[in-house]
Amino acid sequence: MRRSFLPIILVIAGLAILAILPKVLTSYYVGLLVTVLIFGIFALSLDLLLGHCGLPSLGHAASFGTAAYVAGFLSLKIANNAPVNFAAALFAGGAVAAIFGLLALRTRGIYFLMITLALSQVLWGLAFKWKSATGGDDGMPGIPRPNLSMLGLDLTPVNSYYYFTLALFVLVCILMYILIRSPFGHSLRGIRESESRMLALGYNVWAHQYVAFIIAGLFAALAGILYVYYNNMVSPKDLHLITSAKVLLMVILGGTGTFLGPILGATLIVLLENIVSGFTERWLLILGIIYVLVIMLAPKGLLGPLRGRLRRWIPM
Amino acid sequence: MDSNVAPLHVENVSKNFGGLQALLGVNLTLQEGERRAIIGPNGAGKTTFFHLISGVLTPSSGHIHLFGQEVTSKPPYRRAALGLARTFQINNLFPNLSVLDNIVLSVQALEKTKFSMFKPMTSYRHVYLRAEELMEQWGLADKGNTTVRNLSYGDQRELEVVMALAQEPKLLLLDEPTGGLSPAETATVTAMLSQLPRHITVLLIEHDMDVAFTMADRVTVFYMGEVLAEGTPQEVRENPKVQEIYLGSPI
Repeated sequence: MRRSFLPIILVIAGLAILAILPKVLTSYYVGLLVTVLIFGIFALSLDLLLGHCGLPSLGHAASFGTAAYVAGFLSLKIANNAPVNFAAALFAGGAVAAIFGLLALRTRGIYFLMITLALSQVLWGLAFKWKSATGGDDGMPGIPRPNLSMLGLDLTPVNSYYYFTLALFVLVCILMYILIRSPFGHSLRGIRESESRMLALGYNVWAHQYVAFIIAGLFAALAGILYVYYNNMVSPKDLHLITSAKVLLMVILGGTGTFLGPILGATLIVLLENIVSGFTERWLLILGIIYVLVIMLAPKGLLGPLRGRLRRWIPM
Repeated sequence: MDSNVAPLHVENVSKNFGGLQALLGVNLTLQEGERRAIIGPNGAGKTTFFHLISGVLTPSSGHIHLFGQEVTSKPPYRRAALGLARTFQINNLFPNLSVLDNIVLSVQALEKTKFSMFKPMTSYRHVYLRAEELMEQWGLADKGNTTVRNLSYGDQRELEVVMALAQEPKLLLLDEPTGGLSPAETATVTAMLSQLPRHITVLLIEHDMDVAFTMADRVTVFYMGEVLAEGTPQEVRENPKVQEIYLGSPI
């Protein structure tokens, strides 16, 4: 296979643009970019399930929201100890995935969709009703940014938080890329294509899916943590079906299993949601139209038509 | 007891789906290196029997031993680890992956590194070399980068067998390897199967009588979920019961 520097050049150019953007944009748009990066991580994590394992989760907000609540609760009510809170929130998000995975992976297809939906709504109900711990419908406002003063970092200004998020976003991209290129990632795609064949070949299909489900949960948890610290608040909607559906739409819109697709989908939906909603309350109508157009014109997502070319660099 | 070392020993196995008795008290023992064909009319329970041996289904009663180990209720992947490979009656490949990746997944299946998450797949050179060797050997060398769903049906059928061989099985179950193939393709696949080394024990379901009778050392006839007859191709061919229910009235 001919070695090409094109993708490397594109990645470096992309990173350079992302690094320069805060210098030229107003803080409102930098804030939007932070949200884009966070949902980029979130969408990438879901794509590991949907694009590589063929598991359509409609409850991916469970790990995202749980981690957000744990990070928020600890920072607000206990102590703003960033490393401990990050670790605890990641653990909580991963634990939710570990428990839900046990239940959900007994099913496939539409049933998997329904059970992940039902399980995540249980957590939403808990967040909604358990007022003393979660603040109920009002959520928990006033959560401080993570305190990284021991590293000499002040994450209060939006630009600093942007670079912090960008660094973690790049880290997630690298880890995800390594994962999907590994033998494990190859096996996941084999399982997506045919579980019965993989079993006959000697793969423990369930173990692969379960591990992938937990990894996806951990990445979603990281997104949730970044999200709660950025917004300084967490509310039940971060655990709600609407959040799960939104990230699922991002992945499908951009193109499942294309790596760049979910990031593109996250960018489009976040920008639409925030910019179009400034002009009209009916931004969902516009999103709906775009979604219908994509399904009609590019049923494999916006990057679907590029699949053949992308395959040289991105295993899918 | 010499059945302990038999690659496959099936003891009084029955399977029912609700009220439907698919298999009833089937016994079957294979000797190492044997080629055994299972024939029988549609609905005789042949594929169900394969599913029981490979672990897709578990029997309602009875026992299955592979290489002396009881596997009656073990999952398919554990049986594969013992040296069992199978093909499927209806092509069961990875349609959106390339031919090379399909075979690579087969070769990798019994490697300890299959759970590795860090090094890229492509750094496991020996896996790729083995896959390329297999493609060379079975005439798929020029199709490595073709996506499987774009392969002709005949090539897919062939890949179905190559995938199983890539597992380096000791016992190979072939579920109608020539099903749906043209006479020319059937000849290719039959030639391919007759080249298999003798240390592989082969159990074959076959509708094509010529293939079954040429390939097999012994033939087992299934009828209505039971073993109707068992013997050399010659014996089975001359068995009046078999002629009556399966081959039609004697000529």
